[in-house]
Amino acid sequence: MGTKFFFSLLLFLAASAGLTAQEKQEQELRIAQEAVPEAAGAWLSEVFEGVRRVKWYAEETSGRRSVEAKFKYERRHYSVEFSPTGELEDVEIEVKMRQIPDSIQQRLTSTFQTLPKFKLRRIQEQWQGDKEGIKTALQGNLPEEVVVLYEIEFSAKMDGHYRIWEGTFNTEGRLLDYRQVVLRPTTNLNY
Amino acid sequence: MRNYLLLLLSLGTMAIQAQAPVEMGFLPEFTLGYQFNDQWKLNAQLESMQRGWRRTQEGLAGDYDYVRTDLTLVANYRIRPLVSAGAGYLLRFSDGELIHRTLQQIALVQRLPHGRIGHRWRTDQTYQTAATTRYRLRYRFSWETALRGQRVDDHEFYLITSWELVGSKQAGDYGLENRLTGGLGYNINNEQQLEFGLDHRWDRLLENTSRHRIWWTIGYFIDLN
Repeated sequence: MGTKFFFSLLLFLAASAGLTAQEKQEQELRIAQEAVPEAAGAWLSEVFEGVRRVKWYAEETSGRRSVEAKFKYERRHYSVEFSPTGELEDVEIEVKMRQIPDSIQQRLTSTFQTLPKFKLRRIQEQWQGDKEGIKTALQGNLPEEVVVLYEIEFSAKMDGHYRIWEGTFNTEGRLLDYRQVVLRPTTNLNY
Repeated sequence: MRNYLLLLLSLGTMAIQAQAPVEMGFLPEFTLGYQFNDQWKLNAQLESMQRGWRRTQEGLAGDYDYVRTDLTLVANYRIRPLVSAGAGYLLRFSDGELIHRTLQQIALVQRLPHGRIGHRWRTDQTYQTAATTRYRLRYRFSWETALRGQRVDDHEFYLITSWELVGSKQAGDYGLENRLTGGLGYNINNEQQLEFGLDHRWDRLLENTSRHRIWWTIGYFIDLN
């Protein structure tokens, strides 16, 4: 079997696969500090005093654009999302199950137990509200107008499929919505 | 990026002893994955090894040799979303001889904030005429990371590297081989990836003189659902 044949086969398969390829709906791009909306950068510096090593990303999810800052502050991992014009959208903090208030933990666990083959992978506490409310929350006093949700990544069998999912849970432990985490094929790592 | 390539090159160079046999060549591969349902996936791989140069007493000289072509089929069963068990069969065309190999593997992938890590444990048995069965036990660690952003999106480049240790037994003889690869990948989309790189195979480690084989690799991966 010659090299020519092998490469011809390769090219043929590449071309045919290209015709059936589907568009991925998420795109993330690292951006420089200079490209960050001024309002977003200013709010972040004001609220997270002395924060360093902030990584900024431009994201597009299903046609919706946003700017996201990811960083570590006082030993916690934060992800702060802004609109393209710099309006604050939400703050996400990576937490362990044991860091969540006991009552919420119990409600979440009850919901998890209803999901077959459930395995917890990652929890992010999500705060939604206006700039001032979230600023107050970050100072340790959670105001009523700030909505707290939990964005949880888990594997489970749902809708007949054993996959990795990302679900939004409220403080009552109710699963509000969920979507399948789209994973890139692992063929190149397994073969 | 530059440091990563330099590191790989230095590791490879350091490992090559002055007198050790060295061969260099090309190793293109094509891998097709087809997901039948949630649990079952079939992977077919075609790989061709062709030597281009060989180190002699005069130095590295052009010495073309078609080494082999392998066709591998592996049926995989998904145990968990990122863990699979597989069993397969390899047919090797080499020097006019047909060589047969059966293989079994467990593979798992870990997702990290800045990339993915793959672990693969594999055993295989090689059957050929005029030789006793050769048994191998292998472990491969691989790591992939995006060159921009935290994850690899469509039309983005990534770095990929792997290390594999291969132990073998044939009759009363034991063998050991190290494989180190490094390269650049391009994620065309969620179904197709293209990878270019180097594959350094350092075998006969239990013998007096080890052998080094360095292959320029080009890999094309397609996944169909």
